Amino acid sequence: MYQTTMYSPKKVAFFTANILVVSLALGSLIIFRPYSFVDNDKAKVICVESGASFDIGPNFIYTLEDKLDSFNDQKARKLCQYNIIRDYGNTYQTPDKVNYQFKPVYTKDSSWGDAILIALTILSLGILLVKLSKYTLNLRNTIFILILGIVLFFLFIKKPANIIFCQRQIAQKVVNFKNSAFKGGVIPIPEDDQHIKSIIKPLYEKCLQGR
Amino acid sequence: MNTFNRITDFSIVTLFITNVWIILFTNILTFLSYLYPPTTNSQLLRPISFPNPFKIPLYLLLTITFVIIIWVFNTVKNHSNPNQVKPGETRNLLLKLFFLIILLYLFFSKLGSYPMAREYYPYALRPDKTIYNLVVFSYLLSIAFIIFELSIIYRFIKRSLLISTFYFLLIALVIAFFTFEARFPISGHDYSFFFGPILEIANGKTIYTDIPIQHGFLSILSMAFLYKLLSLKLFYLPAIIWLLYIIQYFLTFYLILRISKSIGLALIGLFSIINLNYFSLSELPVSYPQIGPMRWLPSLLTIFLLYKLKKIDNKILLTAVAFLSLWFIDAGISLVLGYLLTIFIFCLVGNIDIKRAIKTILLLCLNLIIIITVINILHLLFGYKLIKLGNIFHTLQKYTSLGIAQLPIPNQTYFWLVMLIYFASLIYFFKTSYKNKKTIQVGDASGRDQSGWQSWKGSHQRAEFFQPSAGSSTGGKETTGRIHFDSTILLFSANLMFFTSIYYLGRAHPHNLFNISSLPILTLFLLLGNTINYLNPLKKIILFIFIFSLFIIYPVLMRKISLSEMIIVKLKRLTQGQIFKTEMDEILTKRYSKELSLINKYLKESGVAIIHNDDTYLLYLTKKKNLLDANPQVGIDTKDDLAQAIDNFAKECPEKVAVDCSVFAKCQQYVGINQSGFYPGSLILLAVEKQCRIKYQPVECTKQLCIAQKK
Repeated sequence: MYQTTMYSPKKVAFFTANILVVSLALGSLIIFRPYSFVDNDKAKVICVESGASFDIGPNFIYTLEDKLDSFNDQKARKLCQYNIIRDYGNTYQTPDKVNYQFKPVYTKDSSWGDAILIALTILSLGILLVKLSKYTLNLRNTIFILILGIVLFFLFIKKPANIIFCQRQIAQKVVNFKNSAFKGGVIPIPEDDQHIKSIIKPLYEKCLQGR
Repeated sequence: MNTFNRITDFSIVTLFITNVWIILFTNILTFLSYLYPPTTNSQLLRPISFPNPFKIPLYLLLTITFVIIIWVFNTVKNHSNPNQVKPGETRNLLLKLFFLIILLYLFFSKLGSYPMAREYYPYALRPDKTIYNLVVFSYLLSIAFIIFELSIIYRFIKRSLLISTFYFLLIALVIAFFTFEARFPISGHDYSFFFGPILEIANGKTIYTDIPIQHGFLSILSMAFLYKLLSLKLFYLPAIIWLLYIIQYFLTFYLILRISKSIGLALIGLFSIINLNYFSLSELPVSYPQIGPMRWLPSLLTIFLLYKLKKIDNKILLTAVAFLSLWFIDAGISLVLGYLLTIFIFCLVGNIDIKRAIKTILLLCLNLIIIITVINILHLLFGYKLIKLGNIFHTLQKYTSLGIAQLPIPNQTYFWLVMLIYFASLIYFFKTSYKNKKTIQVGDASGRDQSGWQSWKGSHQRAEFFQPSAGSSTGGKETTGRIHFDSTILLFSANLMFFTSIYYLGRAHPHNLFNISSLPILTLFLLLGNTINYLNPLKKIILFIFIFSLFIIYPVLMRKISLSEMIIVKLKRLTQGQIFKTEMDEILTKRYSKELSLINKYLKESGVAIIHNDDTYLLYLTKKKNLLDANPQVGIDTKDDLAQAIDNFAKECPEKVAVDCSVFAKCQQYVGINQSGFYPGSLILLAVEKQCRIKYQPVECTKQLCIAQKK
């Protein structure tokens, strides 16, 4: 083992780096934890009268939660009533009653296995650090690093990790819709862009509050 | 137990790395796509683009980063723990197996459903479904029977050059039989991107300078040469494609056989590729020239050349890489990048020094410059203009930066198998490189000839990667050279696979997974071939049955309907007679005889403008020169394309032009032989009228074409 004074700068840096690795590994568990969302490419609206079934995303209808909001509800009603999409100019009158049934199809993004895998990857960087350095870790030092890593995680890492998780979730939902809608090529949808912008903030707040 | 342990370790590391790569790739890509959403481009004539400027750079950067990380870990591991099985390691086997199962589960959960499983487009579903079972059963039985028979024959033949040649000829005949399409059918749309430029070049236009090209460079030039100087009939191009398919599949078989020394594995590999790359598609692949050997054969040829020439920096190989990289532009870029990455990894592991690597890269550049210069000189000698080199990347730029016809990659896709094969090959290469170095240090104290594989002369001994390290370290220089040489072929194949797979990454349609499948399957079988010999005959047979089930039976069952219909179509065509006579001339004459008469009646000049969905085929029939600098016109995607296409036309502004009748509303819009969903006929007519400040009015029409005159 490398002989040095107890608090040499190199040793402090080595321990700090390892503590950071532990807390980041824990943070990655938060960032990559799984969640379910409505797959806009597969979810359907089924028209009550005609029985016709439409995939929502490719018809520019979407949800970033579990049900269609009023903006998209109107689109679904017009789709079933007039067989039209993207009536942003409101040339068609919205039917008074709900004339469709929404059939969400849920999909899962990430998994606990994925999250653990990323955590292990970060930890293996720590192992590489140990191997590359001239220090070795005994049981006492390992426990010391683990405890401080956990403390660091709760003090500084958990909150930003949660923020990243929520941003990841929103990004996934929006990209899921756009990938579904633009299969035939990208077209300008300023009204939808504006609407998405308006619903993202409350969605983000909701996610941060863990709801 | 040691061998089993090593396989488990290898699988765990490979799966771990691949899973992490997938998680990072999908998450980073999603985040970037969210932050920088795709935008429309005013240059485009129709909304067919889905640009994603991050997809390919992320794929490349992330993978190269992983390559370096794997190398660092491998180096650190080898220095601190010299690849020995620790006494207590076998006790952890249960834990390892548990971890392996978890990793396998995570990986399979990322694959999603089998590409185009149970889909039957473009065929109609038959009421009597037993025919599908019957066809599929006969197909599988035939393959199993052929593999069995050919294996038996191989075991009993004497190893003489003559008999081996006959045997290989027999293999080629089998491939020819499976890939032959009677009367050489074509997809009008796909082939128009070959026929069009060939006709234009044969009529005196210069490639890239006068006429834009969708796919190829040397491929188009050589076909134009065959057409003009050797009078090759244009519609026999599918026959050339068929021959190239035979060469491509044969090279695959040959490489697997030579690396694995196992006829069983080579034959299963061959039929796996035929099954996935050919029979898993929806329509007869020979009809679609850009998805087959025109694109992939150059890569196969360079792997074959490396096998024959033994040295990665061999001058003939360098010339071949330079020459073949110009065959098909996007595949050529992949070829050069795959070669450069192999050189880079060779530098990492110390097989070649930086000086030698730089010399190799400079020689490659020099070769490219010489080949392009020679092509330009030949152009001048034959009365053509100099090639505008900047235009070579025009189409590629349209597809990559504008994102024309691109599709986003789903989070769950079988494409991740490509990454699994890539990382497995890379890890195997790094391991064997280290072993090779270690053995040379033991066997040759002077440390000379670090690249021991170069001096291999064909030993039949094999040291095995999965065997205990003590065995290999006493295996001698020849054996280690052999194992390293084989893994070099594997590395090169893997790198080419990595870059050519960008084709799917751009347009992530499931059928493109089958289109790109030949290199991933070859690489996988080379990996198996590198490691198979430690198995006893019984284990080998079990492995063969497993591989046969995985790569032949399972895909066949997943694509049962489509595959059955394709085979029925093939058989029907075979029974129609005149199987070696192209059907295209008859189809064209039947469809456009009236239009041909009309054009000949009104347009007497040698140069004509035919603004029509089937411009390529009408120009072929009339044998006249094209006044428009675009052929086919369905390739006009942007305003720039349109401006370039009408530039020369505007100088002449002819009295009469032939125009698609639907442009004048004289007939319904229809899909011609080209079968393109979009044809910019009205836009072209408007543009030429604006440029010439005239108006064209129809004077006489058929049901498909009008002759229009200046007003």
